[in-house]
Amino acid sequence: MNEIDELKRLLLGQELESVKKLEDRVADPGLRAQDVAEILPDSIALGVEKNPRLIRALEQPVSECLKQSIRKDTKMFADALFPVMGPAIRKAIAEALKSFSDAINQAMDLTFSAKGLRWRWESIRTGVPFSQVVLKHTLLYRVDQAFLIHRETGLLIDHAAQPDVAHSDNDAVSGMFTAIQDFVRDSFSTGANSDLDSVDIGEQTVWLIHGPYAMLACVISGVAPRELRQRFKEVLEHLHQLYGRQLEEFDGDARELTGVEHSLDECLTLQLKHDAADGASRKKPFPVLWVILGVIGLLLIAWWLFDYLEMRRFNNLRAEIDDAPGIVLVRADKRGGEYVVKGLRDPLALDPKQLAAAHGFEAEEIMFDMAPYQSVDTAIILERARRLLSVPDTVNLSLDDTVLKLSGSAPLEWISKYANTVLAIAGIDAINLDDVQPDSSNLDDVQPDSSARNEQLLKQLAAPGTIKVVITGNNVELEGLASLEWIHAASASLKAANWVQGVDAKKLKLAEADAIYELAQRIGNVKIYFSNGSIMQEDANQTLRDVAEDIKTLSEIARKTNLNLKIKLIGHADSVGNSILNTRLREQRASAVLTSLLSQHLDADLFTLVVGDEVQQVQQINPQWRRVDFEVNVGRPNIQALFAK
Amino acid sequence: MSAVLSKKVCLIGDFAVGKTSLVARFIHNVFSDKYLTTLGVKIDTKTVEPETGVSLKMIIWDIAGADRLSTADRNYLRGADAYLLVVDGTRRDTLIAALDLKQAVDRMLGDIPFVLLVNKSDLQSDWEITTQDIDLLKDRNWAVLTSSAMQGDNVELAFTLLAEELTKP
Repeated sequence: MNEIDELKRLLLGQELESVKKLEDRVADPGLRAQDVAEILPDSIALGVEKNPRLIRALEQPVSECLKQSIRKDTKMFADALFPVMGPAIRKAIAEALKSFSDAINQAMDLTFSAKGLRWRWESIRTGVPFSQVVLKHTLLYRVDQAFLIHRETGLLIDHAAQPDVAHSDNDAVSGMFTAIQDFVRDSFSTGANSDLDSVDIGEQTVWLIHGPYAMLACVISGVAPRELRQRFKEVLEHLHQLYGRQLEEFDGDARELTGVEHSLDECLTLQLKHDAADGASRKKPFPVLWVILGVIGLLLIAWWLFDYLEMRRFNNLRAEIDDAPGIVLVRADKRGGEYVVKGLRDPLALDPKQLAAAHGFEAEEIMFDMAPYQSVDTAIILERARRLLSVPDTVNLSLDDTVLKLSGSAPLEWISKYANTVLAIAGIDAINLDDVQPDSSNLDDVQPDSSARNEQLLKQLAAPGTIKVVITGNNVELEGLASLEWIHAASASLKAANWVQGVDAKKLKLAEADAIYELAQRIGNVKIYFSNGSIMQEDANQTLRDVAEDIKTLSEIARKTNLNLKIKLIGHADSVGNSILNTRLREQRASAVLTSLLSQHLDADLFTLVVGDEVQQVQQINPQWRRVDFEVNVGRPNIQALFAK
Repeated sequence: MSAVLSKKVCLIGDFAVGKTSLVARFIHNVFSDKYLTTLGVKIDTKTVEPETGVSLKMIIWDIAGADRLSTADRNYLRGADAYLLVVDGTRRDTLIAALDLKQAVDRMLGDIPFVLLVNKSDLQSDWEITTQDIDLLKDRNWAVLTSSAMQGDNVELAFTLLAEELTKP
């Protein structure tokens, strides 16, 4: 520690320590910040109260802070403003609606009222636009223009005017305001500080509001309330607050005073007459408005009613279509102003278009989109069966599960046609005709059908060219040469054709007749020779076997053709010997042949044993007489009998 | 381009020196001349674009002629940025009055730009003011111009000179 320091310590002692503490405190930014933080709120509060410059000084940084903060976190501000914005927007909308409503009311009022017509006439007469005439009559007051004038020089600082105010040299006007002001004060005033407050010019008034550095001159049409003056004063005071220095030092350069125009725009206000009137005397909207609203209301009701009725009509139609057998409704509604009906429809079901027409719908009003399908609704099944089976009207149809039951009377041929038919009809497995009675009286009625019937029969008969078939009414006549096979088939066909009452086959010749006679002849020519007694010659067995075959063939044909085949076996003997013995020998020989034939599995009924005549000649041995002859009797084939029913 | 800068310019001078006639042909007339007789002042405007490049709107206060400043005149002069001092070349007493007026203006507004116009140059044969008089004024660094309201001589120039003075950076 040097001398000076020592001296200081001795001289200052305690104080030096305090100074040291203070120095440390000042040197420490943390402590300083703490100190300032403690006094800052009070300091600001005091500054705002006592020193207007503080507000101006804070204005810029605070504004910048806000801007930056909003840019950084928009959402936070949106959240903060949310509770305020809702009511504000609602109020703005309410105000806008009110103005709109007032504007409509006024327009209606003016358009249709006598007053409106009178004003229109005034507009035509004076050449003043109608809108201005309306304004003149409806306006309680309006601030047409506002001048902010530099008090000392009379220079115009800024100017605002309603859009329809005629343009003039505002700088000159501003100067003249000042000049007039000076002139009046000089000419009539006693005090130096007394200023001109207002100037009346016809329907207009100029209000002059005086500030320390600037004057606000507002040109007003109509009669403005005193409160408006107070408002102007506030505007001017605000301007002085914001731009005090610039106003004081104004040298004709308005660039330093940007923003003034907003304050002047605030001065431009207007009040319509009916706004000023109180609620009781306020005019009600003109009845025409109510009439128009009423008409619109009635039209809406009529439209709604029409829509409702049409919808009900459509719903009824929908229910009816839905109930109709053979129709499955998928959807039925109105889309895009058009009715659409979509679903499945059996071709036998009711046509929904006809139903729609019955409900009064035009064809183009409803779009039908019906896909075909086969319905198993009872009504549709019965209708289908009726059509496919050509059921006569006299027959009633009913369905028992899947069995089609028919009752009533029908032509026999119809009954027999379907008696054993297996039906291939959806929904029917079997047919029951037990309750259908043949209706004979209807026989003649089938005449119209005969050609088809005859056609079918001819087709079934398939008669070869050798046969002629003539159908007369219910009778059939057959003529020509027919094979046994065809005859049998034809017989069956004719029997099956119930309507055929008689068949005439008398002129029908059997094609196999020649073969029959040839066989018969061959059999008849056979002779079985005996060597002695009843012993046949050696070759007889072979002959018998052959003849047995022929007899078999013939007997078969005979059976089929109803031929009465009879074969006589005639035994012979020569004249040698006793007549009785010979007779006996004849019997024995015939019997031997029969026995042999029967052994060939021939029917015994075919044969008759016959003893041949005695030879009336000289007794002699003649082997030619030791024999058995065959006599064949086939008669005529009974073809007619084959067609008997 | 419309002028953003406006300046108050006064026209002063004795009665009937031709102030109103001087500006009548060059200035946009807003108000009738009868204002002069009623109010003692008529205000017109003129926008000039001097070589300094700044467009200037001059608010011209045409103050009713007098050989000395009345109270009203003083009020009208208040805040003027420049003035035109007009004398009638044919009347020497108007120059004397002008000098008095200038002295009064100087006292009131200080040293502000002005131009002295010796008017009625179309009647130069009848002039009482001599070129020696004018030279004498010019010697004092005054801006002096001879002018004719009738022929329009130098009127425009006078305003332009003032505008240049007023828009000097």
